[in-house]
Amino acid sequence: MSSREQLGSPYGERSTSQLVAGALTGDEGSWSEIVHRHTNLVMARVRQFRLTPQQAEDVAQTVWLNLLEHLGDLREPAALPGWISTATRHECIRMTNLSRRSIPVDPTTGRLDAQDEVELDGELLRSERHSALRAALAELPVHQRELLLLLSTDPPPSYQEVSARLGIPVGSIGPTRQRGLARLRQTEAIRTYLAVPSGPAIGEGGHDVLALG
Amino acid sequence: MSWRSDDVQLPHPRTADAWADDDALAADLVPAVAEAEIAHRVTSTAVRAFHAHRGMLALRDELATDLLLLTLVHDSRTAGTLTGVRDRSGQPSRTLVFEGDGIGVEVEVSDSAVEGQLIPARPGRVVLRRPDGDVVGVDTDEVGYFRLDARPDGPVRLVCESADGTCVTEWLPW
Repeated sequence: MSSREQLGSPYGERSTSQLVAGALTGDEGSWSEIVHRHTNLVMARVRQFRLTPQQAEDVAQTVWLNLLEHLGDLREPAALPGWISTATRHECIRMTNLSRRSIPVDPTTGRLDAQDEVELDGELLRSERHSALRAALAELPVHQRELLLLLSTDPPPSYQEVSARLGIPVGSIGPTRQRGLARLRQTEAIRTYLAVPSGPAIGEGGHDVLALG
Repeated sequence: MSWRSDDVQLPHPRTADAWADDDALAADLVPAVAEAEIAHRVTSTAVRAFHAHRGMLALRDELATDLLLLTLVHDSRTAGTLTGVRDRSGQPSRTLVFEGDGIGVEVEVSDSAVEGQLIPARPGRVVLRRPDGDVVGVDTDEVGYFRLDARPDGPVRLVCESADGTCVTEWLPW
């Protein structure tokens, strides 16, 4: 469960330039904030390529490692989302090649086109939405969170199973779910998410939009 | 484009109305929760990457020299897909070439070993490094050939030392 633990910390208010400068001098908090602002972008790419969790981990690890080595060369902080987006895409293509799945496009030049960007924008919105929901779940009291997590598994367990797993009466599952969902809508994460207009645009000030949890 | 998703969803409007209904909100929680593991892996690898990077900087200081970064210029896996060339033996070996500033290293990665060659040919020492530390190191022969009995998972890099200096290959899963 990812949650924004540094909410309200000064890092969230720092500019990309400040964060890059901080990360270069070894400040891990600055690096964490850079990662936090771009995690949805990496997630969107990974979803676009339908990677397994292990493949996604290797791709993300590679992107972060190489980003750290190139961080000092980035003259323009606004270039950061584009760099991450492109690097993640390349690693995803390589990863799908490694697993011997066929890719009917030229991996060196293919799909840097409008369709790719539209698709990525869609996945990015989706990643932002899901990340907001996960952050919202993390804000709930534990009994409501546990219930909603359990009910959100696929396929969903029966109320009898839920009752046995969580030790609550079957009759209280419905009302607890209802109260949990109502409370979810009131969380800081959801209210923040809903307060900001959508429409990510990489390379067009996209770093501001991507900064959202 | 068979690998592309057939069910890419259109961007949902970011309005409170979309989640006003309990069942709609609950339905959106399912994929959100399902993606939690990948999200966790993506962020936790960043922590590992940071410490690996600090480790490389410490190595640079220790060696009191700049580490020349070699970038990937050839990958038989990618090239093979483009041209349809297949490995004659049918074995899953992979050739990678890294270059930078007139020097480089070529490696052939198979299931059980990494064989390679420093370019231009010169004696030295190579160390295979994972983000969490060294895997294995070996001295090359006089023309720069080396063999490492290792098949690491995840991104790795080679640190190549010779009389001319030290170079490192970009991070890459082999």
